[in-house]
Amino acid sequence: MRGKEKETLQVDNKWEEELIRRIDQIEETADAVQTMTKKDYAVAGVITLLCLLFVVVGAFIH
Amino acid sequence: MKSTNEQIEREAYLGILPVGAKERTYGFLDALLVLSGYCIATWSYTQGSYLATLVGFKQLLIGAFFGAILMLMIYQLPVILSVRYGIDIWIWLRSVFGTKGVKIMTVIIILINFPWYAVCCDLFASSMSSLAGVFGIELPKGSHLALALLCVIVGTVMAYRGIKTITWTTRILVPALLVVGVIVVIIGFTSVPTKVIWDYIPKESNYDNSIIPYILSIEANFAFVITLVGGMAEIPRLCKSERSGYYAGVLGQGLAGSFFVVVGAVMAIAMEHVTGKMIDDPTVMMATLAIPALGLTSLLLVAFANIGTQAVGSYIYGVMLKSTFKKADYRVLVLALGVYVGLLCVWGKIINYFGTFLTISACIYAPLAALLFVDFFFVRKQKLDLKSAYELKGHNHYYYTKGFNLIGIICLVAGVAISLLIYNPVTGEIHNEFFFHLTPTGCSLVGTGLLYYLLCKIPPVYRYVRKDVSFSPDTKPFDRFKEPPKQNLFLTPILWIAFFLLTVSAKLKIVKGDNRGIKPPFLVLGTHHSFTDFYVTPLALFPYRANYVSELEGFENYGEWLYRQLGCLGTRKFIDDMGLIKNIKRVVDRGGILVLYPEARYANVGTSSKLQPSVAKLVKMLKVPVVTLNMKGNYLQSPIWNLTKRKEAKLYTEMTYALTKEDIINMSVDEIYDKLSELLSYDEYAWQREQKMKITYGKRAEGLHMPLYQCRECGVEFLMSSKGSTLFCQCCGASWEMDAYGTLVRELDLKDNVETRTDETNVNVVLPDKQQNAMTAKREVETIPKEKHEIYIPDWYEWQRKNVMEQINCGQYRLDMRVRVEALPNAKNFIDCGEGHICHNREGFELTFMDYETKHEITLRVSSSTLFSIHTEYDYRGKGQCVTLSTPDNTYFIYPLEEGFNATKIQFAVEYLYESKKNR
Repeated sequence: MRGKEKETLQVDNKWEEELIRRIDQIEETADAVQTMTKKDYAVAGVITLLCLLFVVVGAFIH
Repeated sequence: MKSTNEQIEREAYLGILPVGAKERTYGFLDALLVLSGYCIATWSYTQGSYLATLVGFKQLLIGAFFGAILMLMIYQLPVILSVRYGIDIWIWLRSVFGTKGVKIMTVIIILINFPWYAVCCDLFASSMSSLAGVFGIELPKGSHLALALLCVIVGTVMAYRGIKTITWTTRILVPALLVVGVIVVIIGFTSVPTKVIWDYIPKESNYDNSIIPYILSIEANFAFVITLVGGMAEIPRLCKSERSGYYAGVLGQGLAGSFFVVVGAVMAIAMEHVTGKMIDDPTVMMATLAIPALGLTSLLLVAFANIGTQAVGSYIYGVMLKSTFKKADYRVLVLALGVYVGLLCVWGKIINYFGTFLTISACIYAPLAALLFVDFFFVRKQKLDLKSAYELKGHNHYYYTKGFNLIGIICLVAGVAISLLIYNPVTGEIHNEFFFHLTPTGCSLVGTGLLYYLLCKIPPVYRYVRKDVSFSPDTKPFDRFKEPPKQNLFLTPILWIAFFLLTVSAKLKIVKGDNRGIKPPFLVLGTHHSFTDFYVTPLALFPYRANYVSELEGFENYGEWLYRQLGCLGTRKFIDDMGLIKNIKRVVDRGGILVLYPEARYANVGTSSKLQPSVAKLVKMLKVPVVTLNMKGNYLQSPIWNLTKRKEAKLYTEMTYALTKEDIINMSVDEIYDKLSELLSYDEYAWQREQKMKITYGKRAEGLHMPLYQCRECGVEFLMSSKGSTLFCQCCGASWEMDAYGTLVRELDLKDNVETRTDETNVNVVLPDKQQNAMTAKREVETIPKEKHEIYIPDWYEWQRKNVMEQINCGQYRLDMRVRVEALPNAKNFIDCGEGHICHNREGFELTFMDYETKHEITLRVSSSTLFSIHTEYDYRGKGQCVTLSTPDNTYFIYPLEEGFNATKIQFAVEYLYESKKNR
């Protein structure tokens, strides 16, 4: 195998090992990042509806 | 040079590697600042001045802020997955489009997104030209294009040099843009009265209806924010919490980005008031409304901002392309992007078609955002098989059809079509006014999302899209106790028509004996031959609706909702199911008809199976009349070992009023059992001969080796095979021809006992001295007298059963092998439990496998005394032979991984062992 190809393969293998390590870590600790709660979704829903309301009202403003 | 490519390699790899929880660096404020910088570019001024041509300032404010935030609140939600897994959305989109499909999408996104950078280059050229004009310098013809190309070249060179140059660029770019924005706002509001801007309304309108330009402005705002969907996850994946990543994206663009849009509008309105022209070039504005020196200042800022934006864009998309096409050289990709932008500059009309460009790009972005949203929240329920998404070896759940998820692609195309069917962005023609009010982008978003969601509700589509279901399966057991609805009133007539059409060619004849005016409620017990039974039964019960006891895998195959609407009660075979008993009672108590196929299996060789004694007990308990349906021809038309429909088979059904209520009260359980066994017994081949019904289908014996697995001549098991109309043994070469009446015929020469083949087949021919040679036998015209040995298929079948009984009695029966196990806990999905081990002996079954819930190996033990029979399949959904073992809340499909497995033999053993235990 030529030098550059060998180097590429080594980089690829190293990257793949790192990838697998990270994936396993994420799957084991999936809740390590703070997730959106039901309250967060509810707040987002309210904001969305308010924006929709303003957009609709805007149609009647001149 | 080498180090730039290495840096880009590293960036590309790191850019697509998942970011671990501990590597997150951004809180809400950090992410907001970075995303604000990403969203701000001089094209915001172009957007602002475009909006000012459509609507007044008040409506413009509403659209730019609330319209933008409305769209952002919805389409930014999938950013949550980027935060949770630390990945870009393009990794998730591999599940939506397939591993190759997403590559095509990447290229499409770049093709439709890069015109933004042509806008930047055009603004740069305009700024430079205008500034020269302010100082009295007249630029030669063609200088606009030259200046635009200069912006392309400088930006490309900066991106070419790699990440260090880009980092340095962004550090100057964002503050520069912010300063320009602030200056523009101050000048705008001080150079003209505030009232002029506040009360601004466009002077000319090409629209009769004033709502149309407002909708176009909302559409433009939707499209403007949605074009950033491709890069929306780059920063959130570095955030520490989902909430911060989500709101940083929403507010970064919804507030900061929208602010600069409004700035552009203010500038354009102020310029129109002063000069009579809508101008969105901040250089000209500053020179006109302030002092020329300020215009020169803006040159440094705006010019650099445009070049910087061009550079950052080339870099981001260069890295995106590099991570998609790993073997491509980053520098070549950046140059290709530069050429593309250059060509757009040469065309020179990107600003003229700005509104069109926005809507066309939204045609793609809106469906893409919708697919991402629905896939994340509803289809995959926020779980992704990362190893398959990253295409690691052995993980190919997202390969679909040669790398393309056809469902995702179809929905994307449909989404584009929805948008174009409502509004033509090139001509400005509105095709559908009603949906136009919801905006083309809004309709495309909702329509695509709905289509994808509904398609994924269809079981075959769901199975196609959710090949990764084993990664995050639904493990909740089927609700056995859920009350069954009545057969859907609207579906039933459709079913009658469909079933009539399906059976008309077989000249189905239903003979209703003396039914003595029977009316519901009653119990129907039917013989069970094949799937045709489900077509015939409703026709026999016409005009009444009924409920049907059905095995759970039918629910999984056709969908629980549909099956329940068809009146089906779900259960598992050969278990004690109190939920089923309760539901059967509910059906008859509410005056309905309950249909049960008590054999609980298709006929293997066209003969009746022994009924479970519990059937008679059920009849006794329910105390409603019993009707039997003895169907004939259903097996002959489509036997389980070869489902191809035989066109010559005719169908016949005898409906008998078997037991009145009084009969049931007066008769004992045994008497009821004997009567039902008699009424439900059948022999399809005997009936075929009786009816002289010829079936000449050329492949009529193919598959017969599965129920007839043991050679009648040499006694060897599992080496039977079949082809065409011939059944033969691969060990001794003995062969049987299946005639048109289903009888197996073996021709033997009376002289030398040499077999003469009557068909062209590769076989081992037995020579007189037992020497075996492989040869192709040909039709021979012989004068040697022949002897015909006939055997009926059911006799052969029962002969095998006796052999199994002898094996068990002699202690020679044992099943002990590696198997593959799939669990079916509900109607949603099978769960692959991987490799296991099965052992079957006198005591019963021991099945050892990996439990998907506890993640530990468990052993399921099923005692022979509790297992009346066993569910068998000869080729289950193309996966080969299997048997199933069930508990009340799960069914395990067991496929062999070794030779020596035959579902029919196991069935014989189970049934005999049950009888043996019972008789002790």
